[in-house]
Amino acid sequence: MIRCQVVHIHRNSRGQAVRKEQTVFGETIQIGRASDCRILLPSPGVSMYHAVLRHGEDGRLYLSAQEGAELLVNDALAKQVECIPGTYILLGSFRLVIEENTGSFDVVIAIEAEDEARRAQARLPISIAELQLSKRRVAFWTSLVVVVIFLLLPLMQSLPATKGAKLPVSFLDLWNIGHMSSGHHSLASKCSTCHEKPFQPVADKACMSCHTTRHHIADPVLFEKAFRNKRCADCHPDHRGDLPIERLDKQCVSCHGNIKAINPRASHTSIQDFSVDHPDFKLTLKTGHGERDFREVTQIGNVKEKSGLKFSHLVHLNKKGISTPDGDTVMVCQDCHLPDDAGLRFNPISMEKSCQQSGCHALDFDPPVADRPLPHGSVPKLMDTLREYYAKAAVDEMLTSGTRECAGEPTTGKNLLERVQSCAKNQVGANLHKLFTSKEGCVECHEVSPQPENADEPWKVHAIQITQHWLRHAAFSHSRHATSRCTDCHDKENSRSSGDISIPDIKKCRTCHVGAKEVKGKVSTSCEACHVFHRDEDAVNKKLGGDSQGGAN
Amino acid sequence: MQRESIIEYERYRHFRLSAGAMSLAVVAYVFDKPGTEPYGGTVLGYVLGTLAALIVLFLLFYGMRKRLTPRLPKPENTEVQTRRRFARFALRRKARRPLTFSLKGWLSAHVYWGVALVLFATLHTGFQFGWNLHSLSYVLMVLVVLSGLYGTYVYVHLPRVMTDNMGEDTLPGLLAKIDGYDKLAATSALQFPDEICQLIERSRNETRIGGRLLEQLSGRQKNCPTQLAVRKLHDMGKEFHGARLQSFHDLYAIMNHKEAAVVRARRHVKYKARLAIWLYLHAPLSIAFLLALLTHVLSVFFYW
Repeated sequence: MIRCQVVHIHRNSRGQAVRKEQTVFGETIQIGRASDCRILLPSPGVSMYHAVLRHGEDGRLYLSAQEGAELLVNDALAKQVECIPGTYILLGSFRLVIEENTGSFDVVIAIEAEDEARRAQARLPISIAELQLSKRRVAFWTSLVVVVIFLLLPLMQSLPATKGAKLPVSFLDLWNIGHMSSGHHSLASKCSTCHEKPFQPVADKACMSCHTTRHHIADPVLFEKAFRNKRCADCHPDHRGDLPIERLDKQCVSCHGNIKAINPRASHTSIQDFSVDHPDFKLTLKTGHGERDFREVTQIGNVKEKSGLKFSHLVHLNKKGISTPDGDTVMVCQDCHLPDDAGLRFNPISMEKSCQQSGCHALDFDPPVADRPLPHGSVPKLMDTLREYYAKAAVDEMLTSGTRECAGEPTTGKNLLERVQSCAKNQVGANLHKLFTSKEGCVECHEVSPQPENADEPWKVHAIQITQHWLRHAAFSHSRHATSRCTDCHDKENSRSSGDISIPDIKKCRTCHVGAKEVKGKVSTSCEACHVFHRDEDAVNKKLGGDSQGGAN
Repeated sequence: MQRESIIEYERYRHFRLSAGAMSLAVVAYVFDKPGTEPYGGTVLGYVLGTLAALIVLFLLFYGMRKRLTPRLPKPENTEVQTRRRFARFALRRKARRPLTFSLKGWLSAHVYWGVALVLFATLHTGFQFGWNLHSLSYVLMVLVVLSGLYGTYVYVHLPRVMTDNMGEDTLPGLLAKIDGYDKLAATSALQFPDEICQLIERSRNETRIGGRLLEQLSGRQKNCPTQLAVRKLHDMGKEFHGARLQSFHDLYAIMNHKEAAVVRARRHVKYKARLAIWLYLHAPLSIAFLLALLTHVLSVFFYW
């Protein structure tokens, strides 16, 4: 039999405990929310039959949880607990405390329902304000990061007084507005090389300390006019990316967009954009063999070249083929025009390599001598070859036959030498006449005229003046246009005369190219795609392979 | 008549002004031929940067202006005082309504010029960004403006939604109601098996309204015990008959009401949190941005 005193504790309005005692008996005492429990705890947190008070085998009193239920004893889960005074048991929303046994009871249990008010106080924060977040704290820390990392540390590394502050990282990079140009990489982290004084723009003096020469306008008056009030950095701003600083992308038009304002005597018009107002190309026509022997002609109308060469592309590019010693052969442009190493233009065309290679246009003795062609290019040399050959032939013939006849004709002269001379002279004369007068001879390609008074050069072959560089102010790369066929740009298939000029005009270029402004389906082209900044043109031409001969383009 | 919002203030006055300024800036940017790629250091870059900095000062002044409003407002006097105080800023205008500098007008201008600032600053950069102080300033500015735009959105949009959600209720009232439902449910559940009692008890003890920042902002509780209890009770309906079924229906109804109240309370907490949270970014970041901006100006002219 267990005698248990249950003390129900309530709180009055002032929060003071009001104790109400009750005594229960039984062999065992059920605790739960079922109405037949001896100790009734009406809370859904309590099981129907939550726990039972019973004597253990050792005679002591235990509170045991029923199956499926648990006890929270002194804040720890337990299935069973000995009823020792001071034990604190949480059962649903009831707090059970085993009190000191002051009377004749086996156990005294004080039961108090969880305080509703306390429960209400324990509610969660329901607004941001209750979370104790602080705008000032956020402002302080973010500002601190900005000031320390982005202001103080870079400043420490840049001020003259603290320059050389040894820090593992260059915080000055945080002030850098962009990558330095490729040529100035060696100056990185040496800001004061260019930025000599704080809060003052980079002076030209700083640039000129390394860049002592300027490839700008040669005329000092014009230079002064064009660049008045301009700093180097106006046109060459650095920190604009890992590219050469001398980028000209948009700088050409800053002057050439209104060139007359700078140089009223400029030979060309103002240009804003290739696709809008670029003038027609100016062709360079050779007038002599000197470097400066040329004239410039605007490519309008039917301009003809006077090269002195007779040549028909129509004949050579006949689609049915052209007659050669190897039979009818269809020729293509590349048979004669072979690109130079730079890929800009073409190697010079020579008689030997291009015209005689397949046996066509062979220069022969009359009658032809096997493996002994006549030389091309110099009439005196030709004369020497003829004289040498026919003298030897006459000697051989007269010595072996023992007659005074040579080539079936009688010869005159006191002795063998004179007879040989006479014979050879006749033969040379006949051969020369045929070479210089027959359709298949020199006149097929050259203009010739006789000059009988000159024994060493009785015929004059007029000089060929093939234009080497048609567009003197531009650098055109053929290799970069290798995806096109030659005839896409050069209308040579129907050309009968070598005077026909087939350099494409600007309209042709504009079918693919536009200016710097991008257009869908077109190739954007900046000025320097074709032009080189104000430099000595002859030097540039040399650099670009302007020396190459041959009317290749 | 419904009062015009800060968006529509004075027939979109500040929208018109800022849009005009933005158009001019875009036109200038498009037609500018600086001779190099556009960036902050061209003539137009300097002009745009200066204008953007002036806009920043104007926007920051709103924070001061807000605090200048008298604490004990006398509506007619406030307006007069405010007007007097800012009379020297007032522009002469021909329109019928005077160009007042009410707080609402300031806020409307603050919003539209904040948007304009992004455009001015972006054109100032010439779309050149990098890992440096200058881009940091830009990013801070964008964060400030974005948080401000979010604030504008919630200020214009949420009050009506909150009214729709709460009706006549207040949040303390709703929480008291939920407590009441809990007590009712606790009593009502006593007669039912442990399983149901546990559901009710868990719902009472573990249902969270508000709480940590993300809980407040999301307005949800993962595996909400109240919703779980309602769902399970719904499935258990068939197990009871007669008078107990009636009691069960009562319990189910109580829990349904509680669930609805919990959802509304959470939603209210969520709206309140959203109304407040953006300012915890907007205000502090604007200070950090101002410092970054000053450092930016200092650094670019230090190494001119």
